[in-house]
Amino acid sequence: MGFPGSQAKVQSLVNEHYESLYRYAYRLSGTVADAEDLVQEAFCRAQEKLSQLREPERAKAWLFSILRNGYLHRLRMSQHPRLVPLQDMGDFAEPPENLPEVEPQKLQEALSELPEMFRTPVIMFYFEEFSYRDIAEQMEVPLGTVMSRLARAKAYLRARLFPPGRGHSGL
Amino acid sequence: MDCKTARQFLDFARSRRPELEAAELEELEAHLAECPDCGPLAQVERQMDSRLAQAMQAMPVPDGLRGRVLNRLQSERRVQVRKVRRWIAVPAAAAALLLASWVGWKLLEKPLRVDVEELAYADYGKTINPRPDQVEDYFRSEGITTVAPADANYGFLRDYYVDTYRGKRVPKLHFTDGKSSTVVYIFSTKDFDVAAANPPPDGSGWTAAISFDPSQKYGYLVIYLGEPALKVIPLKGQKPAN
Repeated sequence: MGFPGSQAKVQSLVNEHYESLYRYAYRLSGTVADAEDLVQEAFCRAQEKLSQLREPERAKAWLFSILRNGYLHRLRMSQHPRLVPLQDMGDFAEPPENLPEVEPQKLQEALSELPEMFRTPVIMFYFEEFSYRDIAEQMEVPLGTVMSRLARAKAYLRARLFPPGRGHSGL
Repeated sequence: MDCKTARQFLDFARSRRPELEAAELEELEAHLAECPDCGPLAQVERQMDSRLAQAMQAMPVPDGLRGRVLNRLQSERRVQVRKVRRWIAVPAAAAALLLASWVGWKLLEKPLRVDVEELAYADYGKTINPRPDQVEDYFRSEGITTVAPADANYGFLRDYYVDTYRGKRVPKLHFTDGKSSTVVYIFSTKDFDVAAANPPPDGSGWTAAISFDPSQKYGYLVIYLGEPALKVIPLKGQKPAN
């Protein structure tokens, strides 16, 4: 820390990833203030542990992992309100054929209702740079578990954000 | 491809991060194009994914966030530097205190007493009627095992001590009759190639000779300084000086 080489590296990481990291943090935490704190803390941790980043192409996944760990730490310290246990939700209604645009704020409300173990995979899935394997590695769960949680989370979001339509054939 | 496989593959066929082989992707798309059930299902799934992805990433980033992050990182670096300095300062302070204590102790230390009689007897005892075993005992006390030349004329021995040659500690004997001197180096043949020692150059004013102890473990390099040469060690064809 403090050497010109590592400072330049950290700055480069900030320049390249701060926006997507912020969006991820916001979707996880639900508030601007928490998201900004999470981002700052994540980059501070990254600065401390820069030597652990062996593959530069994995920088984004690494940063996301640091941020998620920071978020989980905060979660343990506080109570998360109004979580919907997905196992209690039963079957979900089918969405209409032509899906409307989703309001980002409504999306955030729906995401905030999801338990973290479902919220994280669906957020990472929609950032699209992360493969299922990436998500499984980050969450330290088997690939099958990721697929299962993702399917439930997507079904919940579909029901919350796309009201049921007509004449649609489902699964 | 059947419908069950197609629906399993659908999740892995995201347009921006496909995780299927090209052939699998092609097969999937072919099935979706033809299947009246899977086709519309895939369309809705993909549309939902597109909408959610758009909304997920349609999040404005607060103005100045990048600057605030960089400032925070700079503050963290300063804190770490201060911590490191503190870690260095504590042992450095301890070392400085030790040094000051040592200097103070040295300054307060009384000069040592010089005992002439003690010194005179030490040197006298070393060279009064010296014998080879006495010489060997002395070098042993200095940590060197050696064999002194058994048949040298120790009546001319004036001093013996440990010298340093090529990084090795070497016993040295100094003989003199008041006019000429003879120096004898005792080399371990394990450490030195005594036999290959180069002769003195012509006109140098000194001569040298080499001999060995009976075990050949030690070589004696005898250097004669001054004229006539004080021959204290019988070498090949030589007799010891009287």
